[in-house]
Amino acid sequence: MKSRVLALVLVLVLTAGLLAGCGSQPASTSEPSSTAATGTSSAIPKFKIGLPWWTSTDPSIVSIENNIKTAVEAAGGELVEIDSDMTADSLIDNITELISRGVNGILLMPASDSMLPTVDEMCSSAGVYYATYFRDILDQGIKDQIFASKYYAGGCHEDDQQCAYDITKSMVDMGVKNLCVVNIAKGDTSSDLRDAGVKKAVDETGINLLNTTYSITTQTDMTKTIESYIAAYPEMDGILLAGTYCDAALPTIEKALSDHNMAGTVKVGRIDWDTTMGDYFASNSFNVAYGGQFQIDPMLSTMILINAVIGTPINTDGSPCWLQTNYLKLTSKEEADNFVKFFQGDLPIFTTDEIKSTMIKFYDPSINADTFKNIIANFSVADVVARHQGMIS
Amino acid sequence: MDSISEERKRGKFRTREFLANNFSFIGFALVVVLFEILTQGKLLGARNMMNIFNDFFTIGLGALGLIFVMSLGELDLSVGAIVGFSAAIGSFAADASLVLILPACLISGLLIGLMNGLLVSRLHVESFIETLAMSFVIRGITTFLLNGTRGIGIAMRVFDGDIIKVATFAVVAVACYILYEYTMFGKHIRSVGSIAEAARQSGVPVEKTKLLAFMLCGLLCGIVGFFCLVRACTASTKTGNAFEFSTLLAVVFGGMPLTGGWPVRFRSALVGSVSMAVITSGMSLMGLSGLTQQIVQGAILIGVVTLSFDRRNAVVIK
Repeated sequence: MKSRVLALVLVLVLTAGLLAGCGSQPASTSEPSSTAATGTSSAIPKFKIGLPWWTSTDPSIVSIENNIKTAVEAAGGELVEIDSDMTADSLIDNITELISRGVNGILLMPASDSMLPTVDEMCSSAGVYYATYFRDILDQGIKDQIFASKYYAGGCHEDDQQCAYDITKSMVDMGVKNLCVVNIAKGDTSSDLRDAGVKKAVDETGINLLNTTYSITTQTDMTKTIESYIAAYPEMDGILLAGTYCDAALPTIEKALSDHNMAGTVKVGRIDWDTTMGDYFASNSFNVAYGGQFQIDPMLSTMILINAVIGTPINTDGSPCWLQTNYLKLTSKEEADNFVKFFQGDLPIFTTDEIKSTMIKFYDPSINADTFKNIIANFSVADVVARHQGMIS
Repeated sequence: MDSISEERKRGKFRTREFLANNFSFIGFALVVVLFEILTQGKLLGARNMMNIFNDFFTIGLGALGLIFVMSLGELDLSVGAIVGFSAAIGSFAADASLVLILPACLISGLLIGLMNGLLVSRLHVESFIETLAMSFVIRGITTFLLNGTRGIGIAMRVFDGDIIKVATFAVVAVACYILYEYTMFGKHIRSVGSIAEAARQSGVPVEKTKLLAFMLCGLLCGIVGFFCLVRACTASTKTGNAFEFSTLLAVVFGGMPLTGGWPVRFRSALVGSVSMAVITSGMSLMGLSGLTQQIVQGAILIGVVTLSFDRRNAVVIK
């Protein structure tokens, strides 16, 4: 009897709660009452930016998060992070939750083009701006639809195909004739573009592309893959790490090569930088890296979003601010060490004051898309070193 | 006349029995109260209730299917893979016609369930091993078929509406409840889960019962696959990832005995699913990282199994 009464009470409470949820109006975001356009207010209204993010202790991932947080807080906003595994299903759930938490804007790295119309529908219904980072939109129909959306602020992306082409050519110039590749999951826009870039370079130069393995996320799997390459392809003389979500990927590859006395013999290159490159450059077991976009792309994407949220969009004609950031090239220990010190330290690549003076249109109405393009054009390891030399001991 | 100590023992036994019988409700109430306090009242806010329902919806459907399989004393670790595969097949069916998406998802789930059932019931492969192996096979096939991700028309998002999902869950839950509690099939399942040989000697079609339970579980996973597909309008190789862990945790937290049989209560699926959705939502509102959430969920699983496992009735040698 007692348990039946208890069950009935619990069911009634849950039902009441569900009906309250069903009956509620869609979450109306408290859009900041912006007077920025007229410049009559002296302070940016409060706002919240939502960020689906995955937990990692990898310094590269941590530095991305730090740069985004600095950007948001420089404008006086709050960053609301929510754990995500960055799959399409997870991101949709994340967006639902962020909207219910009353964010004014959402920054996301889309898992695929096909999820973007769904994202647009959700954000447009809720009146929430959104921006993308790290990803181009390859499907022209989807791109046209998203670009026409009032709530798509824009975002940054890289020319992954050109990057993969350039790094493959670099490795060919170093003498590589038989190349194995490791890439992120198929279907991911960056993965597909990097595949295309590698293929283009391989076709032009006539080298052999022996194998490509996708979606390696653990060190164990990385070790097995490299050892499989070594066993299956004795002629292999180059490994390109075109992309991976595996922590400590480069040390894992170097260890596997070293165990088979092939470190230094097999040329190793990677797209996306990490903290371990310097030592391997010094020992000549690592040869070329393209990256540097980890920090600049999300930061600028965040600033594009923030400017839209606070009522001062970068483009005044209603079109999204769509920027391409460059891949930077590293080939020496000194450059790699500077990268670690100035890109992955506690100081972000742009300080709060630098952000306020060059990226927030509320404070300088002359800021436009060309301003951001100049920032991109001037951005390099040397640029960050020059600006922050005295700030880091 | 009983001595005072014997009366006290009887009292303690009744309390322990009450706790054991109502473990799922007590756990649910504790979880709600705890997270409502820790989230400073945000947990049961109107907006968050729909987030909890969205979490609960897919896990709940999966748990409803798992109840039938686990009541047999079996396991189905392929539920996540079935969800992903169904969504993938649905995305291909969308190329022909949007109307075909749901039937394609249901049939693909049903067929995988049929395979699981045949292998377990006819070939007597241990369900833990069989369904684990099946999950690898299906994941591989899904990856091969999708070669990345596939999208469907955004018009299908209409099926992601709150009313449709609430109605769907209510209909499926009621149907499963009737099937489990009021039909011979439901009674057969628990008989087989208790002592299969005795059930067989009593005329229960053991193999057919197992087959149908796995098929039903597969069918419900097909429904989950459909709703996953229309939610994101995308099928990917990651659809249904870790779903088996979430549903297993849900039914165990709901008080499901791992040994199956007559002690199984249908409410385990519902109460456990809601509890897990509340825990997930609460941890997210608190801003706990993914790693911390995993640790908490793992600790809950260990704790619940330790507290609720009935050692006295566990069959050591069959």
